[in-house]
Amino acid sequence: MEQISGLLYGFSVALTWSNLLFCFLGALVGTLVGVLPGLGPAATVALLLPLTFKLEPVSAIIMLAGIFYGAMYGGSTTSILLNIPGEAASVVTCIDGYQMARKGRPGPALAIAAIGSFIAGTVGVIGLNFLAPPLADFAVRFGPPEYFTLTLFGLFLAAYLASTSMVKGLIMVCLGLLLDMIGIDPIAGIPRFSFGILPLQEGLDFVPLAMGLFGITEILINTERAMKTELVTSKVGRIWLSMQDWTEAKWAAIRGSVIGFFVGLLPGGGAVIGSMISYAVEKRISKHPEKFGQGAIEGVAGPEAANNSAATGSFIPLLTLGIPGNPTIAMIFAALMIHGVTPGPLLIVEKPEIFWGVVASMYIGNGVLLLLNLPLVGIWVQVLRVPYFILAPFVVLLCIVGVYSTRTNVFDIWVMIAFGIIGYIFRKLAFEPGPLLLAFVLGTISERAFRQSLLMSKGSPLIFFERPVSAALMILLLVLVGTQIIFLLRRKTQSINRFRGGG
Amino acid sequence: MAGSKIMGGFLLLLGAFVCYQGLDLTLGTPNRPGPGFVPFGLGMILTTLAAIFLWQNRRRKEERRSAAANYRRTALAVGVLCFYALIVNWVGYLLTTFFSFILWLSLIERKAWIQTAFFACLASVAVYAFNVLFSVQLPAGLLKGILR
Repeated sequence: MEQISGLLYGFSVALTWSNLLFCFLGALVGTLVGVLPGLGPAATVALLLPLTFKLEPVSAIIMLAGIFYGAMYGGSTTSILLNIPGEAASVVTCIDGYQMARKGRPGPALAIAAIGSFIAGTVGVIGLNFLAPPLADFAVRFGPPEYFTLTLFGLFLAAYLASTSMVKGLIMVCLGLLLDMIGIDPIAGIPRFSFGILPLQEGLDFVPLAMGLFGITEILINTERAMKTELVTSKVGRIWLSMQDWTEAKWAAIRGSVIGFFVGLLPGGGAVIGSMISYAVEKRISKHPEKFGQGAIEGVAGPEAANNSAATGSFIPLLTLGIPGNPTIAMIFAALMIHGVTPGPLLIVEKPEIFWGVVASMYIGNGVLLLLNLPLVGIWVQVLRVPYFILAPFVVLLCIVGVYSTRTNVFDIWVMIAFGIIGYIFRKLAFEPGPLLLAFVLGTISERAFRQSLLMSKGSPLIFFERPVSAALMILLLVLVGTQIIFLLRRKTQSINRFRGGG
Repeated sequence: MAGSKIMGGFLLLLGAFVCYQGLDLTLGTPNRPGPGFVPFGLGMILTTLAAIFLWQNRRRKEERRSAAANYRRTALAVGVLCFYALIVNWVGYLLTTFFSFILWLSLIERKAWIQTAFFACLASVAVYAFNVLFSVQLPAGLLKGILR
């Protein structure tokens, strides 16, 4: 009952004209950001953060939250029609969404992305509404061993799901962790890997790294190809689903919503991992896994639902524990702190207007986004029709201005360019940047938790097997690693046998 | 030498360098890990992974570069980006944006001068509006005193 009365109070906050306007603005800007390749929600939230200083805290958070889940909706449009993810969480949508569009089915692909996102957004916000207090009670007991195993598990999954090879994925995880170590050591307080360069002592900022690896790399790759705007079809057609499409996709959307929601709860778990796990699950349980990659509608419904519910779910650790689980949520965490609001277990009691106001605004925002993305999808398609020779330098300009405005430092522009070039080389050699970025975000949490665990256990690594949650995760991790090794060895033996047989 | 092998070799060296840095930062002990403990471990893992990667690619032939690939355009795009970063503090964001667009559209896209000039002006106006509306405080450079 407390949740119902809280929600009613939240609606009284969210349904004021000003908050409705900020909710709509957030959803609109978020969708635009999601549609435009090269600019993710984290960068946009960073960009618009100074704008919110003059707003009421609740209005500011409602708008920033709208940008986050709006970008999750909008990202699918670019993935489906251009094969370019509008933001990182839509990478998986490219695989089957683009194939559907190429086969003349952009309408159903866009429709299931929007409907799946709506289902997931609603599932996510209901979860946030009703499960936040008990989940907070459970997660609040987590100590460093649980945090370390959680982050380790998340990183391994990210590497495991990297499309090309496990080794490449793990290399990217190592590189991400190493990049995060640049700067001041979180426990000893001494500089590492800064080589006497002052800006490096502050550590690398997430925004230039992300914009370089995703935004600039994308532009460089497309510039190389002298890319014209590659809309797969000039006519999107009717944005709706046939009964068969719905039958095939509905359970994928529901599974994706649940997976995404729970992944979103985990520190470091977010929309990217949620969508990747959902895709892997759908492919594994499908009766026709060979259809995946060829335009399977479940491959769009699951990941799109997962990235939306993960976005909503990731508000739970922020609002109940004060732990930002991903970069965009970290930006919202910063916004709350700037407004003098400390997110944590006491937020619901001390600032109910913020907690319940944001929750209620998410119900409204979901409805707004369905309207923006179903009947108005044509407008977003028009945005994609802007010739690429104009879009490319403008995206670059936005990246430069965005990166500069975060810390007003030209050094960050150089960092972005450097990571743009590095990302370009990675792409050429089929190294996926996703695991690197995730490792970069989780690096500090992971290292701190690891070292604290060893301090607690007086150097015994068995601490990770002594507590139920961390032990379960470690065993699961070992099983996954073992399975991978056996799989690789079997494949090797088979290829040797084939070679001998052929010889 | 093939790209994957260069990358593998680079990662191997990087792993070794990180191990060395980890030792330099002090490893500590397992019950009191120092600032170099995790970097050293990661360096070891990276070295191992790089060795596996090199081993996996020892006989693999690299695909020939795509005929459509135009590395000149990519190099020019990187050049324009570096040009922006290099002069923005000194010349200011408005003129830098204008000249960068001129360079991008004339060198990379080879558009007609009138189209180039139009989009360069449009970009400058857009970035000015962004700067004023969002109070971003981009460097004014040579136009300091004229721009707010």
